[in-house]
Amino acid sequence: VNCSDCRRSLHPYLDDELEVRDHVAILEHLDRCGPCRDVYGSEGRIRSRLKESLAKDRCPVRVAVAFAKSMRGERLRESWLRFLPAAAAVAATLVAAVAVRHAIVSDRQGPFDPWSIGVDAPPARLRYASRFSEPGRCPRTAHGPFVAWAEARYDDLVRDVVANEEPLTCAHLHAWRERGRKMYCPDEFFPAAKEAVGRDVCLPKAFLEGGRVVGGEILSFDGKPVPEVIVAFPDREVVIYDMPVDAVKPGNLHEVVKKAPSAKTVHTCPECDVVVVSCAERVVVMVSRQLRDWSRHWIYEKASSF
Amino acid sequence: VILALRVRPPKRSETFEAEATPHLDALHRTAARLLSGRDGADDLVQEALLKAYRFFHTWTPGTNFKAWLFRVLYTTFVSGTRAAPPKAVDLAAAPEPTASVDELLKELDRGDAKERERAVFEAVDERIKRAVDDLPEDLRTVFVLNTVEDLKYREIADVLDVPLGTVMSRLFRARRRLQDRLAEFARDEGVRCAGDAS
Repeated sequence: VNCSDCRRSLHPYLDDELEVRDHVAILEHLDRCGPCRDVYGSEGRIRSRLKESLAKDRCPVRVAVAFAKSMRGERLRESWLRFLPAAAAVAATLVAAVAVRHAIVSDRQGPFDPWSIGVDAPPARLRYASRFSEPGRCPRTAHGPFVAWAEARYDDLVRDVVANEEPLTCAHLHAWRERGRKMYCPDEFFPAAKEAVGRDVCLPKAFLEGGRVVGGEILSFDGKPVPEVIVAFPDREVVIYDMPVDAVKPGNLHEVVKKAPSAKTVHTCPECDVVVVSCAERVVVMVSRQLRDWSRHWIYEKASSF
Repeated sequence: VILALRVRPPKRSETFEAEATPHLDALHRTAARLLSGRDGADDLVQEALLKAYRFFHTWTPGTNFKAWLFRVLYTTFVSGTRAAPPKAVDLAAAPEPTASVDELLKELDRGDAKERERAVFEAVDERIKRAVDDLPEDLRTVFVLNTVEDLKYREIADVLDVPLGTVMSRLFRARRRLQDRLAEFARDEGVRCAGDAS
């Protein structure tokens, strides 16, 4: 390879389009030829600059959100279509079973029935219908700690924290405890977590009993570190970010998914300002401070499929 | 029945969403460049995503999903611009060259590399975008897919449905025109600065 050959291969080389043999030959020539090395270096820097300048633009959140919404609509449609034959059979059975149960034990209603508040999730409803119908078993405990956390958090968070756009602190937890909520103050139970994330964190009792708390951080869309609280259970982790949903962009969603290799789904719900990433090892929940009243319906739906 | 409902394979929409979400940034910025910075990138991306979802079954798992998405984006763009022609110069004004790839490469390597580099590095982001937007549509598309989105020549040829040689020649012409445009900007800036000083 002489200098003329080398210059002719400049662009295919930088585009990584040369055969391996030619690529190596160019590399060898560049090793011993200063002028060619300068030209290659200059062109490489030009490309990096152009790419850096043109690749800065991000997809607006409104587009990402519209996409997520349309996919959610598709999922509901698919679910109905897929389960239509089975749903007809199950519905007929359930109607008969519920009628019989009501006739026999009309006063044995569970303490909490999320489906009585207008949940719009046909597949989850079908899947968990059998659990809810178990007499004497509270759906909260049936679904494990996450639903308990969601329930405790959303009931009061909407009123006390979200409405005022306050950060979640110990003071709220104390207030909740006074109302009989099973949430515990990190000062008393999670000093390690507080130390790890540099601020107060709130966690339900179930986490205290069953999980190991560690702190960490991810980078938000603008490159700033956002504290995360990770509760490690034997079978999975639950990660909580207090991050406004409008700070979530495809870029940092991807960052989250990268931390969980088996993540399959990323659910964004613009109406309720919640993002949930679910996978085998962990559940990631990002919560906005501008939740709407019916947001808990949606999180129940997601929680029931973990 | 309960067992079948619990152990379900991922839904088509779930798979598509998981595949497409990491590419939203790339789709949107490419749409913006295809439209030369005009309004409508949001609509174009949404329309392309819906179309991609509808034809998701035609994508072969294991192949480059990003390139496939770009193909859908490009066809959506082309079908949309038939009714509303783009602002930039049409290909008719910039006919395909008859020169061989070798000649084009030689042509591209003209002038002083340092001057070219300086022109690019002195340009602010907006100016670089404007220079790219001023390229004819066919050159612009190839340039963006190659330089910004890192698609291989063969993948670009598939996206645009043109021969490999056409991709290479368009790419070289795009780079040359871009160099010229940025050099023009640099000169204009120099003149304006001199005028301001006087």
